[in-house]
Amino acid sequence: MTCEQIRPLLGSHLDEELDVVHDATVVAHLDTCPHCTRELQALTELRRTLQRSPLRRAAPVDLAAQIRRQLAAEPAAHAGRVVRFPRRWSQAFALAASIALAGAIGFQLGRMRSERIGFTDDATASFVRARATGRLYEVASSSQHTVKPWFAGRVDFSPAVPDLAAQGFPLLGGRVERFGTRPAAALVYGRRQHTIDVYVWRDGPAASEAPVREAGFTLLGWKGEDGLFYVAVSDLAAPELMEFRRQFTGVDASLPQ
Amino acid sequence: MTSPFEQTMLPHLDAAYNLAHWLLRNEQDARDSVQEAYLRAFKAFHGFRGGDGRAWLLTIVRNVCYTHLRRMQRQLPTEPFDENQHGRVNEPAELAVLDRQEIDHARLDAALTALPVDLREVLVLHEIEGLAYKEIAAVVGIPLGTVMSRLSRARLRLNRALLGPAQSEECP
Repeated sequence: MTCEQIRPLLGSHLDEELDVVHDATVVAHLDTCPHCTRELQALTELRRTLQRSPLRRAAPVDLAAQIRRQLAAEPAAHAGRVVRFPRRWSQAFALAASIALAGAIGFQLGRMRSERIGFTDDATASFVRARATGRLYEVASSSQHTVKPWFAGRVDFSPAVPDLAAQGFPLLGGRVERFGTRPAAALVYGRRQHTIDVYVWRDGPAASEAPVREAGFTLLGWKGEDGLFYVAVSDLAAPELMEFRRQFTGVDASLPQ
Repeated sequence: MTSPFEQTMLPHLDAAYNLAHWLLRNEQDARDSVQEAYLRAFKAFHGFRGGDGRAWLLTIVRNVCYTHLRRMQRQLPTEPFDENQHGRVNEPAELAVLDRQEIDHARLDAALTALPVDLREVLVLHEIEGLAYKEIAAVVGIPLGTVMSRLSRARLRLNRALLGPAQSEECP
């Protein structure tokens, strides 16, 4: 392929959005073409420049409360409910039966999915709930020497709490979560203006080691050398979360082992 | 006690506000639009089938912002770009490497703000919000190929704006 054909693909290659075949073609071309390599370097530098800058605007602190107040004043307070009550009783019974059936199936599927994927629903739910209620931290500290010992006596295992501030992932704090009956440690790290929750638990099941998208969030799991199970949840995209995992575990999974 | 709507949608408040800010370019308009978007989302919530709540909400935020933009007539969204017609005629073929420049944040902010809105929004959604191409396509309502080409053009323009007159001072 010529440079003319490769150049429009360089951005997608950097964004890891190309399919395997096209990506391989780009990589092969870059191996022999200093021109396109320089072009890719320029794109990479632009991306780094964008990421180093505080471009993301966080919502003003009072906006959430203002929105809640406005919603509470809304007359259509039941608009959030999925169920609509039908006029005829026969329809009502049919509806009730089908809801019950759907609920039972949903519960089964939810349980199966949760156990197969490993806490995906619990992890996402915890992530969302912590941010909706604003209760991200029970211990707020950027020091691993404060956060790590805080978990002693609160969970019966000792999670790894590495200091990743130099790598651009500052520690922000931690809290305890519950996944069903299991206690889990939640570590909160920052990345630019985003946050990452890392859930840690004992006794399996393991979360997926390939990135999973769930309701707009990315989840990425691993098993620690300490035998504990970890999953990172964030609204960051997969490549950045994988970089986080690389730094957290000190293992580069993209390299041949 | 938070409702299902609040539990699902409030975590995306920063994403919503950030998009509104970059579309409307001032805090008060962004606030107003985000509030209106949440109200619309609340009323439409029964139609939300689960899945990507962020993309669903951002679509609403975007629509509210564009309605606002058109009403204020500050800047209309650019005309659909016809790749075949306009191609890359007016733009340099290459990016120049930034690494020897110290880019100050204010300049970067201004350069991003100055981009045409259709290029700015895909860049913001991708680089700042971290949406995948597929998600951007859904929020903006354009094909995947158009996401790629707009991102490409946005990066080219931004790079050019950042190097600006200083480019001639740097001898490669």
